[in-house]
Amino acid sequence: MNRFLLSVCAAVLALLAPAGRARAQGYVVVVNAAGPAALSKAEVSNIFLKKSAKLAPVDLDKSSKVRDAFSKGVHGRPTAAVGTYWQQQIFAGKDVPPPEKSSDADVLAFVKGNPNAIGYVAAGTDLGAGVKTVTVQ
Amino acid sequence: MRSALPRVVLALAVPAALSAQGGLTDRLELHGSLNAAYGKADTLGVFGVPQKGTSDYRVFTVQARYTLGQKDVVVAQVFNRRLGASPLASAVPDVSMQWAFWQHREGPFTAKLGRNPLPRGLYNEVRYIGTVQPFFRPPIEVQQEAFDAIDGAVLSYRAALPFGAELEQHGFFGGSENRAIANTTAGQQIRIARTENMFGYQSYLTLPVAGLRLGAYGARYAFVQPTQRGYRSNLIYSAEATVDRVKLATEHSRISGHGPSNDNRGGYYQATVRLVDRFSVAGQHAYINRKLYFANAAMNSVIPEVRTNGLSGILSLPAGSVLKVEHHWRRGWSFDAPTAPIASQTANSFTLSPKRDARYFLISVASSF
Repeated sequence: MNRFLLSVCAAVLALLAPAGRARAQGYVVVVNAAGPAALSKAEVSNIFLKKSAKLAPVDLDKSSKVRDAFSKGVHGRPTAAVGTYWQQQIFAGKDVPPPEKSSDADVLAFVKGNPNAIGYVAAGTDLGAGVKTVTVQ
Repeated sequence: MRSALPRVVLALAVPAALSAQGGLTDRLELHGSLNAAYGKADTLGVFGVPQKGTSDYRVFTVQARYTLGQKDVVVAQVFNRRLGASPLASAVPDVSMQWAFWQHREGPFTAKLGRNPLPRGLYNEVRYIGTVQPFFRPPIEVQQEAFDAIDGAVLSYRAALPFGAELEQHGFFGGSENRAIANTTAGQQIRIARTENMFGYQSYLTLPVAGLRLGAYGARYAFVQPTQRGYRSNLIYSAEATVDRVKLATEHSRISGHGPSNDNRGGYYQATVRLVDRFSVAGQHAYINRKLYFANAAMNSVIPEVRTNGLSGILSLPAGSVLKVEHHWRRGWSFDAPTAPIASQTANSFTLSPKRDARYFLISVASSF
């Protein structure tokens, strides 16, 4: 009985555990080769929410799972919640969201072509020349 | 076909010509929002929702944003509002220019000149955007039919504070439109006014704990009606927080002044709970306390003009749209139908007319792009 109860508890805990903990981070943050080597999580979040103009951000499409992982990991909120934030910014006349690209290749091309750019792609993506990963602390 | 051909050619040629100028599609962004509803009340009409029901109830907004340069944009926003059977419907143009401003950004400072969104409380700038509200509209007990834009200037400053906090400050000057249904000792009055020489301040402090955001607003302005001119002061205190799946918001406002004499306080408490990813429920309690004025000033008294409760279910639809079903219960003296004077005076005392009750529901769809 005790073993059964322990098994049930373990199963329940496994179901409740956020998916982010069960898998490795699914994205890497990238900048142009001329960009910084490290940024804090708060800095990256502020850049992508355009609260900081330090770098020029580029997002993936809203339907991207990589974007959702980035959004939860960096902003602490899912893509939909960040979408609500941008709707508030747009319709308060304050600002508009970063450009969206439909693929990792498009993000890398944007970052490579802009010395001031920052983006994110799926972990394990071949970055090619002109782009490097940035350590998010 | 012969008459349509020139128009077709023109429609194809214009974008090509504009594109050839270089950069129009890069510099111009279009956004829009639709908030459309059907509503029905059981007895008395409320906010344009009549007993017979209405589907003439919507706000459609189109925004064009043109980037002049790295620090400058021009924004124009037009909207179409339909207020159902509201007594204020004739005072609201079918289509009007909500905003038309130039914005310049310099580091942490932003200046807007023209007809600008007015930072006033939590929802004012996005009051017509259904996709960011738990109900069809934000509580009118604080928002009122007023102050959705300011003709003048708004100067803003944003600063990051220690420990992840953030401070936003806005100063403004200009004029605005003000429409109200006022219940007085003389009966129901429709007040259409301009506020002029309005100056004020809105400050927001965001703390890194539960997304806690505190706001304080203050403004003073001349209140100008066709036959009367007075002044008003307005204070609003706001707070919102998000803890996991629960969002809480509350605001409290006071508007006081003379010409005519006015002192009312309004506010609300609102909670939204995200039950599952695509479905949330929200509850809300709102109130207005109004001061009644008599010839004998010793009789002036504050009455609970309105108490209202609301419940809504919010379903997320594909492509970011939402479907809402909401029900409201309203008790007091403030409804669409003309009412008898709120109080009758005898010698040195007065008697309030009976409170009335109404319920109404709204089903709405909101979408933004």
